[in-house]
Amino acid sequence: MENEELEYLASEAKGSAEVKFSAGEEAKDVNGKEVNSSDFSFVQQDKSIHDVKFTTKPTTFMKDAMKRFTKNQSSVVGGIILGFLFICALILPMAMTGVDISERHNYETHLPMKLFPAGTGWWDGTTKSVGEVFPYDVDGETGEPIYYDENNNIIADPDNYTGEKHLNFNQYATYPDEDVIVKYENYKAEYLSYADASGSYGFATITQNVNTEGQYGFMYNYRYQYDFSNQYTVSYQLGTLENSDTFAIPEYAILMVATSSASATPGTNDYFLLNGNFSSDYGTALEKNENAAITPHEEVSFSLNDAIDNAIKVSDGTTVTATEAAVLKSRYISLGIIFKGQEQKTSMYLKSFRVTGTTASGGKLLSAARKALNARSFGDAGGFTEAMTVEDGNALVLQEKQVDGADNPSYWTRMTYDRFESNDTFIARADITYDMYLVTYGLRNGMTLSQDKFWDWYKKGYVSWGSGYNWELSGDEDKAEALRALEDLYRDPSTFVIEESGKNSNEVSVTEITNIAKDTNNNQVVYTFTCQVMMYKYLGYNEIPIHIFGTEYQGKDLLKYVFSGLRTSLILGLIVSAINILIGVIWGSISGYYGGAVDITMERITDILGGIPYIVLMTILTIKLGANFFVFALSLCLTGWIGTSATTRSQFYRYRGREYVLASKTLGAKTPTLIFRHILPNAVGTIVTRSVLMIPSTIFSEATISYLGLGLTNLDSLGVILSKNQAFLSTYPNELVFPAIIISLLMICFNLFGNGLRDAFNPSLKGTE
Amino acid sequence: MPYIVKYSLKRIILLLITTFIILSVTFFLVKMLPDSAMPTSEQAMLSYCQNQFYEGFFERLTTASDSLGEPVMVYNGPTITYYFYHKPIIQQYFAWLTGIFTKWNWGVSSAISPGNSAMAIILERIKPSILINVFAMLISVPLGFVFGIIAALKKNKWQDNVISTTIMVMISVPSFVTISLLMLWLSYTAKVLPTQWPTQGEIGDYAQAMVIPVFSLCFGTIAGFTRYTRAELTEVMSSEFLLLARTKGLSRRQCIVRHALRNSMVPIVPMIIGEFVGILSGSMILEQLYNIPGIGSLFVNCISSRDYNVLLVDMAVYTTIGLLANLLVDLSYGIIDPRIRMGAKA
Repeated sequence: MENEELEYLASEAKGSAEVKFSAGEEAKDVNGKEVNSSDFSFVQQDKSIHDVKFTTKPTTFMKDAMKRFTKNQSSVVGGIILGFLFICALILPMAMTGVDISERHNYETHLPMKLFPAGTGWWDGTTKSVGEVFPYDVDGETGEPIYYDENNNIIADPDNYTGEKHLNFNQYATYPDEDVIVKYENYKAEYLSYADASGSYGFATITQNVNTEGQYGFMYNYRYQYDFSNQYTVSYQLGTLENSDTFAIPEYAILMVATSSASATPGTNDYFLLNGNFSSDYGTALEKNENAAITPHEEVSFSLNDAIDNAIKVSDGTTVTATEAAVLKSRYISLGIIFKGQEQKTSMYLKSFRVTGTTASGGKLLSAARKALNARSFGDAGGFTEAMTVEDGNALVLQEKQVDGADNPSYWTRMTYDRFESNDTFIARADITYDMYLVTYGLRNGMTLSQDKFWDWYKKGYVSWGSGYNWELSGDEDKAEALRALEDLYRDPSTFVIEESGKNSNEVSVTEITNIAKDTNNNQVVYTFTCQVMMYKYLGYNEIPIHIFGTEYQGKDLLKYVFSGLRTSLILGLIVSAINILIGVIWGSISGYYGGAVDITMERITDILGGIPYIVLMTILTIKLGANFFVFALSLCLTGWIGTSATTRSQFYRYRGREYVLASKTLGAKTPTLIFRHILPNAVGTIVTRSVLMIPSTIFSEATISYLGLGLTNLDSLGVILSKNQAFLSTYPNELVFPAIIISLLMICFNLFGNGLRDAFNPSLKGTE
Repeated sequence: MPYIVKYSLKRIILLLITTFIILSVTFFLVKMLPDSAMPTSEQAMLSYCQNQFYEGFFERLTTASDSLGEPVMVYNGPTITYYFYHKPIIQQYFAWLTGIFTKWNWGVSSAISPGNSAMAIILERIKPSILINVFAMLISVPLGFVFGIIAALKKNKWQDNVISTTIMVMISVPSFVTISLLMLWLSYTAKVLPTQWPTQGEIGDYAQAMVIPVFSLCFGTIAGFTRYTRAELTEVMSSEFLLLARTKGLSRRQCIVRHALRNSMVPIVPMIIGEFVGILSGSMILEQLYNIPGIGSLFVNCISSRDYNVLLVDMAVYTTIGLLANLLVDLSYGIIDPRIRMGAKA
């Protein structure tokens, strides 16, 4: 206490001591007002109050606790959120009747969260794919890249393009929609290995590992049949690499491989040198010059027609005869480069290599003129197949293909010890935002539909086709008529029309038939329809569904799935807690009340039981009794009651020796009375708090065990959902984050609520564990 | 004999008995599980069966016997045919005990690393577990302490509220959520830390890989320490002897450092021991999620791949550590605080 305050109090005391009250005498109070002794009287003087009942009601233990609890704001908030979660877990799964989570939905997996319309930019069901490789062409005259949209129209201003989704290179290629946002970002890749991505503009490094004299290394492209009534020009541009110190200057020639078919394996007599402008058989690429760096050699051109007339056979070094040359020109021809093996490895680069046909009409080149060596790869998207045909006025660029499929007409064949890399290429990439809901529920090509569907729609008048037979259908004839009608459609699919009623109906999912296959199995004709389909109708929805929290890997709506999982977890928690509390209280009461040998024995039993890892107990139980909900609950009860029994026991220890218990005993109270009437009520607060806190700990145990892969297998609790979605942490984090937030929220609220209860029931424990 | 020695001895003997009983019960329980997995190659299977026969778990006969149930393995050798059968569980139990007590032989692994001694596997796998836990302890003890002291000294002020709320959240959020979020944030999004424990690498790689496990372990223990320290210190601060010290003229600072802190340490030191064991067993999920080759993930692997010899040793380790910690906590109370008389009747 401060000094001034003390002094003030002292003076107060002094002042009041000076005021004297005696009957009839006047006195003044501190305000100078007169006071009289008649102003004062004794309360309840001469009254007997010992038999009077209290008019106020005595507060009960529970009411008192409630009053204290409501003062604790955080606990009340926790309780409210907890109640909200409870209600959600009860009502949401029941309210969302249109959403099915009982089975897999293979088409609707991993949908992103959607609350707002697509294009809002946040929570709108779109997925951004960053840096997707974007195919492009090169303007033959300016050398600038040209980008196309999905309709093959040139995109005028790529930097600011926000139009439709580009469709050339992935499996979602058939769902154009205006809501999709596409944004370009172009990168100039300075030095990339060919395997990395597609690109043009660069050069190919050809490293040739033959380091024995007299050996050859070569590479050549796919074989085409040329029409030699036209003139063809071969042009190429070479250079040596900067680090040519470690490599010898390559001796090379232009190689031609001619075979009778495009796929035949060339024999030793099928290799020729087209040394159009070399003085000897092989030319050297460049004089060794450090400063030349990667500046290319001047482009070399020669006439393919003339070169073939003077071709040299690799096998014996002789020039072909006129008849042989004529035969060669009718064959399938590959062009390429051959290296003469030297003592050192050789390396050079190829800037361009192309064949140009010259005609009178002189067709203009839009693409490919500046494109040097394309190393295009689109990963597993199926490759970018650009059919190369040698037409009048077009250049054939010899391409390196990463994906080399059977129907892929442009790739290099090479000796295994040669390396071919595409360097310094220009790669276009785009950040593309996909509306995944349109991708999933919009139009999709290549879906197969059964004939029954078509027949069903036909009967309902949703669709029509054929030459307008007058169908009179009844009973058994139905099947025969169906076959006739379907055959009619098979013969002329172009007559297929979706009627107005069909367009308005949600049953007709097909928008276009792309193919009808007819098959005969066991004398039964089966038609299979390959169609373009509106997916949401196909999947049986009236409109495109919205999944606020997206869907998980099985295509189940996450909101409903998580809350129904929460319901399972809560039910499990409630049941297990109830059983645990019951067993624990009984066990603890007996142990605590009797004490002595009983207590020691019971304590040792709990010690041992508690020492056995419950995961083992649980595994044994699930193996012996089956992995279902009740076995799981049972296994959580096996050791779960030990904590409660310990608390109850210590409460009994505290109270069983108290005088009031002794008094009651002396008055003849029986053991049950003592336990349930006098001792147990003292433990009610602790027990209530424990039961509340046991629910989250049960849920937590269940989730933990599920995480370890040892829990419930056929019932989706919150823990099971979490552990299943854990696998998609890196790819679809929202599928884990949402249930993780729910379980965290649940735990926090349970703890707040439980702590509030503890403080309310047992104020002396406030602030401790 | 001083009382403390007598009491300790009593407790240690009790501990040994309890451990023995727990392990025995576990042995029988484990033997009730489906048969343990066998090595896949025939050669390894034969050597495993031979080993089990020499150790007394299997019966080896040259002719088939109906009374012993299904044979574990039938070996058709070039010169001899062996039929291997399980012995009755009680015989296996005594063989197991004999092996442990006479040769400290805990059996060989059948699936995790076939043919290797189970004890050797445990000793190999316990290293990362202990390493991570020690680091987690080194970080969380001082931090928990500091936060607890701040919260207690600034009781009911904003500092205390912030700390208490954070602690509340840290305690409530399940560990797998913390680990997942840390992995998502640091490994997958920011890409600064590895996504799992490296199978081999330099010290630097392990140091990087240790960040997430240590952090997620610390999360719970820091919260525990803070809460405990705060509660203890608050209680001591409101005690009479501290008031007396103030009245005698000690400054608040002197009071806290000389009297309050020292006294509040009493229950905290045992708690450190307790927490250490707590997180050692609590890192099972962590080890599983982060692919750490410790004894926690070993436990799960043993159950899923049915390697029961290793499983038994692993459980023995956990049980012993748990009981030992209990004992140490109880004993340390008495050593640190002379007011507590050990073994006194409640």
